[in-house]
Amino acid sequence: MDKRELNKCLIRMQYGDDRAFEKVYNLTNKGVFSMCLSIVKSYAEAEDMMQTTYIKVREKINYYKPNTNGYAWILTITKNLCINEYKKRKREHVTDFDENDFLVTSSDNTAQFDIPIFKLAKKVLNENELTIVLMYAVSGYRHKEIAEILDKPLGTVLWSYNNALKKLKAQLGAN
Amino acid sequence: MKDKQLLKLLKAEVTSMMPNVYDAAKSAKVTPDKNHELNLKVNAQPTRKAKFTLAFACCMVAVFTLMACMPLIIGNRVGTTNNVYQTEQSQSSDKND
Repeated sequence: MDKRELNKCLIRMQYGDDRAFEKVYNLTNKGVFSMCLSIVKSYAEAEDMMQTTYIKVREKINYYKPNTNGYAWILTITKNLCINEYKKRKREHVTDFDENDFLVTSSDNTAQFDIPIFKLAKKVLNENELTIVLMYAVSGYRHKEIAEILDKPLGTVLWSYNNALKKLKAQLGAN
Repeated sequence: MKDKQLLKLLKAEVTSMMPNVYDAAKSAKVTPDKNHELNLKVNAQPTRKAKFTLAFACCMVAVFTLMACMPLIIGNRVGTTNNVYQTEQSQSSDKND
């Protein structure tokens, strides 16, 4: 994670440099996608949320305080957008999609994107554990950085991470 | 399966399905909120911590200045007292003479 580089690019965006946005995107896309996927648990929704996040970042760029943690700022926006969308979807759809797959498969084109390990992780892990594992494995954040971004104690993050791996390995062993 | 292998597999699979939303995000018409930045500058007030720090710093400067000047003040007063005593002594010795 290159915090200084990201900070520079965000400051340049505040001064109206659109070319800096490409660098911001390249530095943060993995983290944003991991966060979206872990909360909404659906590829299509995660893609939508990712796009909404970056539009929001461009819109609210002047709210970023220079020389602070740019990753935490962007991922906080991502988390809040995803949680709002998830709550909205929960209110609209009461049906459990996992139990009633046959009702949606005809129009659901995203089934092909359900990868085996991610599908297993979705079933076995809770939201926090899934977020921590994806951010560590996919985005390459260290545990200390994840604790800072999620605003949780480092001990909690480490415990959740180890617990998540144990659950995954146990489930893989059982399968 | 080892932890590293599991994480590597998960990373490879999730990365392979990562979408590219850069073009869509860039082409969206967005008006950055500029007013907020102006409001921050106009309404910016020093924090309580900043005020206390400044007050403490001023007190420390005053104390050190006083301590530095103390020898000069004491020295002047002693010198004056000595001068008065010497004058009195010389007056009394003149009288005796």
